Amino acid sequence: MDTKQILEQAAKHVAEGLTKIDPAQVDALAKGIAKANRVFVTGWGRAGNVAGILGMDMSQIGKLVYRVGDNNTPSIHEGDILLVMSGSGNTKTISIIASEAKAFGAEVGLISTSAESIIGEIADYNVVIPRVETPMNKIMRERRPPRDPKFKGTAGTREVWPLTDEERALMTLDQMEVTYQIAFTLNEVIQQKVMEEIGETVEAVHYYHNSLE
Amino acid sequence: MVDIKKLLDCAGKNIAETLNQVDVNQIEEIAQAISKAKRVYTAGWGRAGNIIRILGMDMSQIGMVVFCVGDNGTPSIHPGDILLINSGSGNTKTIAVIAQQAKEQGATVALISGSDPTKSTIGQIADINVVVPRLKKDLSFEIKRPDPAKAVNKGLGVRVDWGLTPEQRDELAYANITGYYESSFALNEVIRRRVMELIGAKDEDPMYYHNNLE
Repeated sequence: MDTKQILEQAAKHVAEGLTKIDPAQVDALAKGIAKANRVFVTGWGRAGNVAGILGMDMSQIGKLVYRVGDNNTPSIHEGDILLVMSGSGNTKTISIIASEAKAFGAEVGLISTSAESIIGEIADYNVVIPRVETPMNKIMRERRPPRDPKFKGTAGTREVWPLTDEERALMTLDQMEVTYQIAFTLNEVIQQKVMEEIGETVEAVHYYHNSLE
Repeated sequence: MVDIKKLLDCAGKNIAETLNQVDVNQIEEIAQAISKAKRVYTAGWGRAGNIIRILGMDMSQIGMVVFCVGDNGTPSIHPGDILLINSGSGNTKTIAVIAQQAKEQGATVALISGSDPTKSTIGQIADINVVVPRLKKDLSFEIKRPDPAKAVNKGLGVRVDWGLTPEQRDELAYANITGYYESSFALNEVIRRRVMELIGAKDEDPMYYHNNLE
C-alpha cells in the first residue's frame, strides 16, 4: 500500500466530513459554551481524549474547565455546560453522567455521529459528524459474519473477515476511522466561534497556555 | 478550634479500629483471585478511583500486568482477567455498568466497598467482596441532613447548613478524621503482601518493576 495514497485518502475523508457538518449546530453549541459559567468535559477512549482537548481549547481562551473524574472536579450546577463526545452517542456510562448533569440543571452538548442516540436525546445541543460513506462500508455490511449474540458489541471478540487482498487494500484506504479526526479538527472551529462570542482574541491562548510543563 | 494532637490520635485510632474489623477470609479470597488472574484491571471514581489505581500500581510493582479502565493503553477484558473496583457505597451507577460488562465478557469482578455487598448493586455483581466497615460514630448530637427524597443524588452539590455549634463541629472532626478511604488505602498493602506470597514475588521486586521514567 502506497503511503502517499493513504495520506491523501485520509485528508479527503476528513475534509469531506467537515463540510458535511451543519454550521448552525456549531454556532448553537458555541453560544451555549460562551454563556456557561463553567465547562465540564467527558468521554471514554478516543472520544474522551478529543473531548479533553476541546476542554483544553476552552481553558486556553479563559473558560473555567473541569474534566469529569479528575481529582479537582467539583459538583456541576445550573449555568454550567457538560460537553460530551461519543462516536455512537450511546455510551452507557456517559449517558448516566449526561442525565445527572441535566438533573442538576446544567446544559449538555454532544458531539457524535447521531442525534437520535441515547445521549443525543438528553443533550440540549447536538453537533452531528455525519459518517463518511465509503465503498468499504457496503462491503463490510454484506461480508461481515453474524455477530456473537452473547456480546452486545464486538469489541473484545476476535473475528476473521473473509476479505480478499484487494478488499483489504481498499479497507486501508476507505475504512479509516476518521470520525475522531474530524471531531478533533472541529474543536478548533468551536474554539474560534466561542472566542468571537466571548470577545476573546488569539493572544489569549498564549496567556492561558499551561506554563508549568 | 480542633486540637491537632487529638486529631492525629483519632486518625490512627479510627484506621486501626476499621482494619481490625475487616474479615481476613475476604482478603485471602481477593488475594487468591488476583494471584490467579492473567491481567488486572481497575475501576473507580473519585477517592475510591485513586485508591484502586494505587492498588493497581502495587500489583504492577510485583510483576502483574495492570490496566486502569479509561486509560489509553487499556485493551479489552477477557476470561481469566480480574476487574478490581473500589466504591464506598458499592452503588456507583457508571461503575456498576462497567462491572456488568466485565462479567459478561467472562472476567472475575472483585469489589472493595464500605457497605453490605448483598444490598449494593456492584456487590451483587461481584464474585468477590471485601468490606471495609464504616465505624459507628457515637456523636452526642444528631446531624439534620436534607430530606433524601427532596435532595438530588443524596444531597451532593446542594449547599446546606447543618446548624452545628463550634464544639459540635470539633467533635465531628475527630469522629470523621480518616475513615473508609484511608483504611481502604492501608488495606492495599495487606492485599499486596498476600498476593506477593501467593505468586512468589520478593521484596526486591518493586525495585525492579518500579517506574524508572520519572
